Amino acid sequence: MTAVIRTDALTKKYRRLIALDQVNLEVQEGAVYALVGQNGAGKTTAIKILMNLIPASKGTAQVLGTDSRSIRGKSYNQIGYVSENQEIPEWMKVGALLDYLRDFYPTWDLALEQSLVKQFDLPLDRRIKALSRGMKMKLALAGALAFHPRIIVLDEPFGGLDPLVRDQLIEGLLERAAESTVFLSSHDLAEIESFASHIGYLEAGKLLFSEDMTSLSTRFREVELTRDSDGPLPSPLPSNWLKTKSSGAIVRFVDSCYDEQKTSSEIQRLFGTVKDVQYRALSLRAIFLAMARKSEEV
Amino acid sequence: MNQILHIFKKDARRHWPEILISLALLALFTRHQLHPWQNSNAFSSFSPYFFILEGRYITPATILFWAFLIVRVVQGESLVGDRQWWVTKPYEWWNLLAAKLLFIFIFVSVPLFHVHLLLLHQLGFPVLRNLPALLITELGLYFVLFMPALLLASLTKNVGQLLLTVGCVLLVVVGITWLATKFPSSDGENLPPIVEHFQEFLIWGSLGAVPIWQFARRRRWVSVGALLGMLAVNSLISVVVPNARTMEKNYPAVEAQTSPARIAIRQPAEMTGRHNANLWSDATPDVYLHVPITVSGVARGTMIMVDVMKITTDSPQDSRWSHGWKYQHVELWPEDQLKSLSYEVSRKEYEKVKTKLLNLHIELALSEYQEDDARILPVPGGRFDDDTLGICHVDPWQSSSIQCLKPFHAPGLMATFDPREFPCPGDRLSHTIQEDAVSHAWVFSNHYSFPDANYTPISDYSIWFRPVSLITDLEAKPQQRTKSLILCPGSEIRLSRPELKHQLRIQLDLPNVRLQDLVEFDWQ
Repeated sequence: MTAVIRTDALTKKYRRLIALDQVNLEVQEGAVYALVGQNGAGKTTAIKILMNLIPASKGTAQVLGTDSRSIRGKSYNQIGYVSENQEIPEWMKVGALLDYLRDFYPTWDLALEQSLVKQFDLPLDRRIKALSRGMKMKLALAGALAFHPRIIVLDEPFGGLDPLVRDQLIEGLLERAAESTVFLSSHDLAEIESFASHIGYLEAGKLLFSEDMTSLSTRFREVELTRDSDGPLPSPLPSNWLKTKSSGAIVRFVDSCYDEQKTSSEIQRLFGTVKDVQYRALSLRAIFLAMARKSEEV
Repeated sequence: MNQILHIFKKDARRHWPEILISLALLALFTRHQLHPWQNSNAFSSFSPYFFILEGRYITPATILFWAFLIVRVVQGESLVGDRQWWVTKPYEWWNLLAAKLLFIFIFVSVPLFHVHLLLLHQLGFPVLRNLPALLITELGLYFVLFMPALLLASLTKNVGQLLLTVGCVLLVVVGITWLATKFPSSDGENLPPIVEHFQEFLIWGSLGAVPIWQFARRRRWVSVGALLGMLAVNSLISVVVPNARTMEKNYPAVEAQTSPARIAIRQPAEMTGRHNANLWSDATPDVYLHVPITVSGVARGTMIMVDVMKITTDSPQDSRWSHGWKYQHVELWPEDQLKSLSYEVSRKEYEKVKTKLLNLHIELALSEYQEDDARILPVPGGRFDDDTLGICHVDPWQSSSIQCLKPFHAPGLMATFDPREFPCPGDRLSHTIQEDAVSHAWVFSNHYSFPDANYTPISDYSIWFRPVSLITDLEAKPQQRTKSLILCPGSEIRLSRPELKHQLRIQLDLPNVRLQDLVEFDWQ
């Protein structure tokens, strides 16, 4: 597999604020990669650098094998970019915008355009200015998909959209995912969980992890054990145990490096024989809450 | 090419209302230019409700609207910020730039070029012969009018930002002008030519390069930095590089006696004209010293121009000071006897020494022009064509003046009119002239240089015979009778081309004078 996006120690500083701090990222071809994190974590900054909208302060980024600083003009023949902050020419009508875009792309697929228009219920005769936010996002996505891009980059595409529009967008996106790599930023974890194949977590400009969803959901487990008697928690606890709490004889924590054998032996080492141990898979949201709380504690 | 046309068509579709308005303004501009003499007296047809239609507003309104149109078109694909939709589409920057230039060409330059052709044709000038000069004019317009608009548009996101930027630019200009007043300056003194060429290269180079750089890379602050850097370098050069002593080189010093005009300075005490302390001007930051001179010995067919003047003062108590050379452009004709030169000094300096007795050393830089290809032109009634003058008529509102139209440049002219030989019916509006005097007119032309970047190819100029009685020696002949200075059909004027014969510099001294005596004497 080849890397479609690769960053090497990517750093962005705004005077004293470090928006991105030595980010090393790799997105393989065919992946649906979700870059997640809280507001201000640096997701949009990372995407803007990848799209050559702003320069990096240090480090390098490559998109489709091209240095991101050289991405301009024809490079965008293979990149579909949609952002919630983009200033679409609102004076145009929907149909006129699609007509206008068509001539820029040699690979524009008119049939696909028409099918996307139908799928997204886009009103061709209406001015973009008069469209709702969700409609504008659907139009932008249609414009970004209709030329079969090799990579689709989406910056917070679902922010503030109603569930129906969100579903339509995701559906449209997934239909194209087979032929494209998708790279998106979001803090809508519930939606991402349903279709992302890989995930990266940015916290205060640092990439805390970047891995595929299967390994992530396997790695995180909520553990609940019942001791023979209550008492203080042993110290020190393993650093991969997050949110450790005890209530009487019951101890709960999130293991961020779960391995049944390893975790069992750690429990035995620290608590001796326990009455009962239960392992529960976590939702993406629960994983990120645990991660976020850990970083707050630090 | 496809992409250029594609973007161009989109822009044309978007900006059709602005295009229509600009064409309507251009039509008004054309109408105004086709009737130049009517419109030059627009005050007589004052229209309170449609003042914009008055000739004097149409040209600036048209130019401003073109600038607005250019700004709107360029900002359609804004080059500032990181949220633009178009940036992540496969636009090639040179195609985008070419599309914008094509828009300016098609909707501004081409209509204007056609209007220029129409003006030449309708006003009776040969179009083909004037075509090369017209093309140069169009190119000049592109640089002088449209390039700054393109530059500002490439550095701003919207019209609001543009207005703010224009405000900032004006502040910088005011600041630089204010700073310039803190350094001694001289009219007519230039930096060495190679330095001036370098400065011009910097200015025009950055004006041209910054928009291109913006289209290619969209780095606004780098572009602004480059412009400010250019401004700083140019200002530094102007301050640091010594001037080329142009006046001394171009105007070699000669003894006053060998000058083609005998010029002497009159002591203010000798003057018996009205004295008038001008209280109104006491608040102004500068003071104008009036230096009275007597003139004689100017040969027939000659005119001496006092180009610039420099005053240096000294006194036993105070150090020497001089405010450098100041432009005069005062004509000395054979009949002139007394003239006044004017010299600007700062009020601060003036107040320090105004009551002290000073010795004034006055240097005058003179140009001697002689008549060449002299001929007599009988003034026809109404409109007339003349190869040299162009299309002319006697100004119906000021009958001591002939108004003319000529492609691109007024010709350089010396003209003489003797009203004694051609008396015309009196006119109370006309100027008067001494009964025994002839009158002269002078038209300056820099017709050796390229045509200017002008909004019209037609130069509108006047041959104005001055009321010389006002500036000759009234006190010498207090009973002098005057008569009206009027041109009428049949009046003959002597026309010639001025040929520059010499340039020279003379020095005159005015000892023991108080500056306040030079200020308070009122020649009128």
